[in-house]
Amino acid sequence: MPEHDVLIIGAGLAGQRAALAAAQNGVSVAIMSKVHPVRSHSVAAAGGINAAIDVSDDWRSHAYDTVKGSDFLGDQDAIEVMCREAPGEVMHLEHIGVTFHRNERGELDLRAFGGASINRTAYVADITGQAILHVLYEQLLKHSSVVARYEEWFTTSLIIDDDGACVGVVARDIRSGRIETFAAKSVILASGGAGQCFKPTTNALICTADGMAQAYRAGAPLMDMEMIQYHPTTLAENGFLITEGARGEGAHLLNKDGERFMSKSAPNKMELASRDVVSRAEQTEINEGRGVGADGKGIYLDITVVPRKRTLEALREIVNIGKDFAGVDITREPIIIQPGQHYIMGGVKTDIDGQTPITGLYAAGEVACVSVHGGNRLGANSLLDTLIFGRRSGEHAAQRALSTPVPRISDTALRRDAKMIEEIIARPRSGRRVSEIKEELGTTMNSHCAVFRDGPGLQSAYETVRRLKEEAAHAYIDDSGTVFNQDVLGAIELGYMLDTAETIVAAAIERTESRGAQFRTDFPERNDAEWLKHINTTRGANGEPEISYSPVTITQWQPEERKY
Amino acid sequence: MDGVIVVEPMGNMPVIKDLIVDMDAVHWQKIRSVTPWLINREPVPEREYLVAREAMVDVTQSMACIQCGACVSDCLAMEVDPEFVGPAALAKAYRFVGDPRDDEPFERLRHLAENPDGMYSCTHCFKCVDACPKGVNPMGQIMRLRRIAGDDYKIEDRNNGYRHEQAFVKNIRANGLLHEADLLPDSYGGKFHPRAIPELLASLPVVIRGLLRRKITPAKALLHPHKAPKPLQAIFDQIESEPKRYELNLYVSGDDKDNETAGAVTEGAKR
Repeated sequence: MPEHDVLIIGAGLAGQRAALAAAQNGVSVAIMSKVHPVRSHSVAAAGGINAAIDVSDDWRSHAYDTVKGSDFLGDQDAIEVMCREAPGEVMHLEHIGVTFHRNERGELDLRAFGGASINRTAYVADITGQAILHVLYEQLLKHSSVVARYEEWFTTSLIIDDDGACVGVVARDIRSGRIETFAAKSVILASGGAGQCFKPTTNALICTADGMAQAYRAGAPLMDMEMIQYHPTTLAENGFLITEGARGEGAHLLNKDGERFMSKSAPNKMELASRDVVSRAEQTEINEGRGVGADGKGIYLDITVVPRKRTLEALREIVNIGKDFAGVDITREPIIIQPGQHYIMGGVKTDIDGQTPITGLYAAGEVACVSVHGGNRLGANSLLDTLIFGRRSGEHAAQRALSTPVPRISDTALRRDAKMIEEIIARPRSGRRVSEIKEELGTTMNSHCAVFRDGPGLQSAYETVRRLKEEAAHAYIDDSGTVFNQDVLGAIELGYMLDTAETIVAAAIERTESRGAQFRTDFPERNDAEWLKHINTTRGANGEPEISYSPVTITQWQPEERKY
Repeated sequence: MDGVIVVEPMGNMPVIKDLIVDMDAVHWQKIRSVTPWLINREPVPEREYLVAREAMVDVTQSMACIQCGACVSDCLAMEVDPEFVGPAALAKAYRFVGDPRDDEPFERLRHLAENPDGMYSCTHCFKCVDACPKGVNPMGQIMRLRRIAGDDYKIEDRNNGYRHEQAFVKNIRANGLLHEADLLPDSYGGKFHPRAIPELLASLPVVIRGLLRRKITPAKALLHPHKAPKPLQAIFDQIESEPKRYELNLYVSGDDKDNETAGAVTEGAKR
């Protein structure tokens, strides 16, 4: 049985940063991922990373923008930590090799981004996440002797001992089908978000809420789960992300009359208001018949106002996406976009060191909820969140390991998970297919749990999710092999997604107000008196989510009306 | 065939199952061979390293690599020589050689030049350029490694890679067309270079094959029937008189017209 002081699940930015930080503290570290680390979804983060590094900027300004962006649901102590440590973290990335774009003086160039009061987004063209992810992987290769890598290993469950502490995981080697117990003094979940609960989504096929569901099943609370971000610019054809960097570089949003409609809802920031505001404005235009495209469900994103050379250099990926997937040269004509599911602000509840309420279990990145994003995340704050809280989790877990004995683990969990996999493979072909259930889940969530929500719609979504959970228990698969059996993993992932979707809908039903990404047409106002608090969902005895609340931490910024 | 798409596992890598190949055994092993991390220039500054804007945009082209392995799959040189470091790893190497923050570009280049399966094993077939879905242009990065190694660091490798390349330039400059009889001796430093005699003797089988296939004839070898026309020599003069080497890079491209917006372009067209 492999044993490590710190075991990290997930090898995106949060996981890799945690691994490097833990290794620097002299403990034995391992990082496990169901895909090769450079295939992690962090690779898709395009626009950049926020940090108050400009001499005329201040971390407090960054923090205030983040608090306001969160619609005052973010915990201000955590936001202060993130924004104060941001400049140091970006400089660290620069020193280890990230090829940040420079200005004419050779310093880091900063671009404009949504909800920010000053240019504060450092970037590498529109491949910032990819550039940082690959540089961190370079560092993992450099530190191979102190960080063990389990690439293409799929975690099936967390192991909780009799005292309620997390002491390891069970995982399956995807390449061979072998299942194994891993003992660890601390486990850090860094396994990303839940985008595949929705269809369409900008998220990769791997974003199946694994860590959220694993922690939820182990008894950890999930917080702010109702807060689902719809990104204002996803390609109408297939939901691909068109970076916010486009609007940062000056692109306009136009309705079918050619009007820059953002002047109505955000006269000062226009296209660079926070994402929830822009997505709502777009959806309103579409709902009121001013959309564009064949079905009227799109909005024009006009990038032709950006100098062509600048677009080719700094927005290269979306030039290619426009050409390859929409047949549009974005330097010459507008492209049709629409709001699309992009990010979940909620996740496993943690403190500012990544600790969850379960001893020995940490979480960082999109899987976690510190909460720095509250009701709505600002663009370019997600990369920052992964790195700051990835590092802090790694450091804290390493320190903890120094004073914790190696856990003793039985093979109960291993035998249970092995049996679970055998049971899936042996299912008769009488029920529905895994892919059908997943499809229905995604379209249901996108119909009822999107930019605008209401009580009846959410109720019907909840009932659908409950039914799908029953159907999923008998869903059959085609592949019964052991080597690279993605089919059986898909069935397990479906279970993760359904548990997580259930908590999302339950929390959205619970919050009878409109704040950040949660807009209830039946409760259209923000209601600080009743709802300036987090909703936590834990798994009840009957398997259904149970709701509880926790206070929002306010340090220096009292809630006020939110205008852009 | 019309309407038929052939799907097969990637080349140059062992198949695990169906379309799944073992990238770790080939691709990643080659990536690891080029010391794929930044070796910092000391002292590490308190804030960012101050570097030229163009330099960062330049290396961003190879940072755009997603490690998909398509170039490795299609590499013809690797098919012949499985030990060849290959397009992806060499593009990765350029990402550090071209990065002004790296402290050991000379060591990196010397290693890749002296390696018999290194940068000079590329045969210019353009397959990797074609295969790359991200515009990384691996062959272009390999050629830039060679130019920096040869022209800037004067690395004359034991594989005769650099001299072979110089021989081509000399050959075309003088003859306009490739004069194969001169290519081989020039690659060893010229017909009268002491090193050329043993090397040429060792290359005798190549010479004989050339004669048999009429790539060279005794008459052509001794006489130079073709001379480079003046306009061609002018091209050489022009390029060589440039104060800076001309580097073509997709990320630092475009002319002044590209600085205008599409609206301005249309306006201009109307006028």
